[in-house]
Amino acid sequence: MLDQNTTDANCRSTWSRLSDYADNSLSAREMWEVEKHLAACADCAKLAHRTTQTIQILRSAETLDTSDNFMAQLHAKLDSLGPVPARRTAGTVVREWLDEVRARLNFRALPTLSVGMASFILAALLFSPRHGAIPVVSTVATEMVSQEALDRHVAVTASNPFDDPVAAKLEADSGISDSGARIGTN
Amino acid sequence: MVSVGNIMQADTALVLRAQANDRAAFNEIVLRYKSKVYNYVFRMVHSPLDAEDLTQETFVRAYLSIRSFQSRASLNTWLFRIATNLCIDFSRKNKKTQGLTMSLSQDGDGDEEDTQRDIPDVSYDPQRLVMNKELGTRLNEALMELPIKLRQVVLMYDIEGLPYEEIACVIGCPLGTVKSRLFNARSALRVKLAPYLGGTI
Repeated sequence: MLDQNTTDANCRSTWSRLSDYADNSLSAREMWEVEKHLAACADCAKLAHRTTQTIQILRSAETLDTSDNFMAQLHAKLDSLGPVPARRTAGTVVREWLDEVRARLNFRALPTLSVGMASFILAALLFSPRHGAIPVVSTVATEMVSQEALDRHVAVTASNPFDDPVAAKLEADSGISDSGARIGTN
Repeated sequence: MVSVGNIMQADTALVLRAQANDRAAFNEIVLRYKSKVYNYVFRMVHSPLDAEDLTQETFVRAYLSIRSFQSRASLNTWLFRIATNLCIDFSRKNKKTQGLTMSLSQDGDGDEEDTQRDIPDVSYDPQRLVMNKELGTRLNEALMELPIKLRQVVLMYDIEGLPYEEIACVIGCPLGTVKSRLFNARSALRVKLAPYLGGTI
């Protein structure tokens, strides 16, 4: 078999360069090395020849074309799309907005507008809810949580195993009194 | 012969007109590139009907986004990128629905000496390979047996004649990856087309 007989390092190095060799895209030095090896190694020469033939087959492949009604169909599709909306990037949006502002704003109106804007901002600051709006909400949440925690605490207390009559009975039967440590000392 | 520079200049003029809603200019772009795109798409999907649909879809998408086209890539690269993405999506869907039997991973591991086929009546000329219908069909089949990543590179380089840099731009890979995929694709094809190769060196 071709690949097993030629395990020589030169062969391997040549194989890896056959594609570039066929494309004539090796450096002069590499080209020389490959050709020197091909002259000496029949297997590699055969492989190089086959690589070139494969590329020839690819390059002489028939050129195919679309059907005759391709253009008509395509234009029908494009017509059905309607007008293409202009592409709106963030930049375009900002530019359009600025243009609009510039168009609407004549400079005589500018001082009035600034005064209007300033009073709006002032009013917004004055009448805005103070800090506390959020803490109020969170207080409610805390209360709810603490109510929950309380309920859980009550539930835990209610099911305290030390209050369990069965456990108490078992305890009494086994003769273990309050403190287990006393048994150890006895 | 028309130089690449002239083509790009003409493309730029067409794109600018198409971006300004000139349908005639877009029509010119389609006429200029439809065969190239179809030729590529057909060998990517190996079905005339699907190839026609995907080529149409490529130009519909190009039409819709022609305004976003920028001169960073050539028109050729841009169209091939749209077509490649559509073909990859199509192959993915097709693979899911049909459970294609073609091997997409076990390529290039065969031995060309062992690849025995009934050698058909190939008009074989050792000096000049004559492309006949049989060989053309076998080539298309062999291409379909390649993993899609290898197929797209070999199609763009050896059949469509795109330079490495443009292919790298289309598939979004470094140049080295393009070269190594091309090497692997050609090696796999050499194995698959072994019955048609030979002759004196």
